[in-house]
Amino acid sequence: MGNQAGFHKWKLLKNAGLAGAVVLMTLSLALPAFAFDYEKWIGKEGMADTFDELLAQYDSSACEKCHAAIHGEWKESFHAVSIISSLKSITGFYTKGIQSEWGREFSLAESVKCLDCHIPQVNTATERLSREIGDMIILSGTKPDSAEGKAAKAKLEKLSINCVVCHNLKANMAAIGYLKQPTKEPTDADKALGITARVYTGHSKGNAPHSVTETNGMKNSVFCEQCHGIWVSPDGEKIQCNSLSGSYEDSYRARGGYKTCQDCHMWEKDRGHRMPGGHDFDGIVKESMVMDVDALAIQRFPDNSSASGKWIPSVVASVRITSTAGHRIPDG
Amino acid sequence: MAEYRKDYIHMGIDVDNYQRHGAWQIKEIVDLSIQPLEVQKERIEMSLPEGTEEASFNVRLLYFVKGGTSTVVAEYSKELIYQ
Repeated sequence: MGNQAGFHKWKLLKNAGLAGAVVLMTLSLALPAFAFDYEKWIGKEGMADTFDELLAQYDSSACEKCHAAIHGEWKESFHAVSIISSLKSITGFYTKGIQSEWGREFSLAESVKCLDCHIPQVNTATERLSREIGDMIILSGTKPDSAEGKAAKAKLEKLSINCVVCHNLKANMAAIGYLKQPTKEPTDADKALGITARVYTGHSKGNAPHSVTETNGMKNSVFCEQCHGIWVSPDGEKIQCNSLSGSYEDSYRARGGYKTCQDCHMWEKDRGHRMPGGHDFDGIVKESMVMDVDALAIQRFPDNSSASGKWIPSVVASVRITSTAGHRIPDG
Repeated sequence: MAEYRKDYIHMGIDVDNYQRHGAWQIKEIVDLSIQPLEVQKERIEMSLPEGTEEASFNVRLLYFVKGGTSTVVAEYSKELIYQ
């Protein structure tokens, strides 16, 4: 509905002459209405108002039964700890940022500025539940050693970038126009298998007993870039935890690199759903940089002057660091 | 011990060009990082005390993931003799 209202205003602007300036201002204020309509997308289940309802909407236990090896890889990934690994930073955002520096009240609209990537599930939570989750984050971030803080963390640990988040919720967003009618709702046959969301993958169905919607979007960097890059909030705020996607698109590809995020972080060396990155010191980090050094011992004049008749022992060296990564190092 | 250090960083700055760490504050970056598919070249000259006869020359490339957590990505050592 918000999109339709915005569209009519745009048509008005085209035809309105002098009145256009006023309409233009209205249009810019209406921009947040163009944000994705999660309430419509989530379907008949409706927005989750309790923590358990939210967990149920994104329950991936049916996936684990057959995809145990992939689940095991994922458990080692940062995606599996997407919220609890960042409690301190997000707490800082919510308390120092939103409440103190910006002087705003905490709300769902503010919370998604972190959580649309850290736990995108919050998009289908009610305002009340989003505040409850925000309180849990702040409690576990500010009082990590207290009993309440530990309990909040234990609860938050159940939320993460799990199967449903990538293979449904975020799968839909990277190329939403291309996917025509993305849906959360699984088929009735899939529901009978305990599957909680329509499965989108970059691969063909194979022998899967459930339905699969194949999308090339998930095989391309654009899929990962939804979170691993600058994120612009529906209200226009630019959130720049990292800017990997910009470096990838404008530096790596500009220099003729054509690997995707998935090539390096998933498919090469069977990294799979571990998707290692900057924390994988002995793996992908060390592979991404090669250092070559030449050094020469010389005796040189002090200040390039031979007047003193002395020489100073010195070393001249050349250091060359070759990066094979698909983005700047470091980033974010 | 003589030391030369070069930092490669990706620095966040706010709209007033102050360096910031908060994700709610960072609006631009200053990119002093190692660029993809490029060779970062450094040329270094270091002087030693007069009369030095031997020196150990070491280069270490360290990667810091956050704070003080780091790993040595590559190392180079050479013994220098002065006659």
